[in-house]
Amino acid sequence: MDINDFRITLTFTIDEMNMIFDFLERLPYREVNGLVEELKRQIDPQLLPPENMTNSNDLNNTETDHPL
Amino acid sequence: MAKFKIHAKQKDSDTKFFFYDNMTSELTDESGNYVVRPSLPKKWNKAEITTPEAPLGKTNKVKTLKIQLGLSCNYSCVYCSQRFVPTADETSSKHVDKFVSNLDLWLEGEPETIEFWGGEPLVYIKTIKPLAEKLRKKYPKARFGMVTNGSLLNPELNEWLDRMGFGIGISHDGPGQTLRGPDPLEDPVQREGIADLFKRLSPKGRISFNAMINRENMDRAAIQSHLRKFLDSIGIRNFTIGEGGAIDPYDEGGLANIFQSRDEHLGYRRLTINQIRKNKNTHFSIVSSRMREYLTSITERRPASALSQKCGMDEIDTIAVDLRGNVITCQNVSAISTAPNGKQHMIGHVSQLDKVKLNTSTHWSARKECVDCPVLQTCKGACMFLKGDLWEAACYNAYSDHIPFFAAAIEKLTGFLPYYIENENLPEERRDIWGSKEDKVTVPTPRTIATQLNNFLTGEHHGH
Repeated sequence: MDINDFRITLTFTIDEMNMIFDFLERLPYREVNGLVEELKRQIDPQLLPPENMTNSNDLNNTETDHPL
Repeated sequence: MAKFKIHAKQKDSDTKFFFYDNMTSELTDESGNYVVRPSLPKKWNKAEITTPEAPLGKTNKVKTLKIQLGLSCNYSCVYCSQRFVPTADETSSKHVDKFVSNLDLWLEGEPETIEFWGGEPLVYIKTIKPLAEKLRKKYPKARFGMVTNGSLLNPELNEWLDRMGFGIGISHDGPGQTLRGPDPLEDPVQREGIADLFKRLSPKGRISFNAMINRENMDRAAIQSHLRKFLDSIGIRNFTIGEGGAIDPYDEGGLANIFQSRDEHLGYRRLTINQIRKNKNTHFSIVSSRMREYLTSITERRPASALSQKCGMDEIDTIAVDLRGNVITCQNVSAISTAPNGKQHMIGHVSQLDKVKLNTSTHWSARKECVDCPVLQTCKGACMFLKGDLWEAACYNAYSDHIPFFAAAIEKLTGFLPYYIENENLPEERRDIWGSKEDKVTVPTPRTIATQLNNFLTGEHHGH
């Protein structure tokens, strides 16, 4: 396999992404600030925490109703 | 010995009380009568108990041989138990001949099952091919098993897997797949590879999707219908979903993905009991196996002393090894990793099998939480090498995972659904199974897009 064809997709939790951003922002390079801003702008929509479904409103049925 | 006073009800009925003993599996009513007529007395083998102080070893009459090929993977699931395990020096096809020829020196007879483990095992295809072919020749009757993310399957490889007699579990979390990373079912080539393997192995009952339950993916009915859509599209109607239990946390990523709050625990418990009652999660083999296990344990009065650990890795005839012959705690660790109790996960070498000591792990009977737990008979102690905060988090998560099945089994036997379990050692949030009707319950939805940072960095992320 050509090394250029090998790709690993990393999946991060929101907390981990914030840690990565914190780390990058502390680096003393001007270019990094721009990169972090750009990353945040691009990736933010993907970092939205899961929407919460409460009392079955989104489940479209009664699956979280009290069983008694 | 723990006895539990179970408060149970039918809708709008008065409360009835039952008494359950998790050590003897006896279930009695208020007058002390057995709820089910006991079956004929059965002889139970006592499980052997391992602790770091008095560790078990391994026998040379191996029933299950798990071969750890390495922990490399082309995915990076956030909750993966192997995520932060230090990787030993990789083995390769060069190690195969010696490994196979050495088997006669330490292994007697033919294993019933041989499992090939990664990381992603198919990353190691150049090793697996000669290894499996030699092992198949040597052990013609052994069942071969492998769990893969399916992304590297193709018709040629599938034909070989079929010919070698593999049973395959394809890890896929249905709507929660984004937490694992990419979805092979959305990639035309990978989808075709998976479809082809299903068409080959499904009629022989040798393939399943394996899904894990986590806080963003707690709805078994939703997972089932997601996977059914794919299988319907390739003409497969009968299918089972393997694994199917809640994840155990091994690090921060795991901790972030177990049930987080009382309302999430309640969300999972209620969702699960309602789905069990309506038969909406029946494609998960774990649903019928847990129900059956409670029903038969009560009918046969299975003593807890017969219970080995959940994963079975405490059993002396189940062994995990790498191709160098190192014996390790289980397939999810490496020979250079350390258990939470500070002991090396490399617990010996096959050349000195009599010296192998499973000193990384603790049998459930040496954990107070398990001895005092009503779901012991199916939970069997979560992960045997976890310790401290991770163990406590795993324990509570596993409790919620199992309690709906316990309740459903009692309801099946008595007609009354347990809602409160009285026992002085059981914390209140475990006693009160479903919460009150006013309590908030939450079922988080899975995130819809994976956070693919490196795709962005490599210029493949084009934004919105």
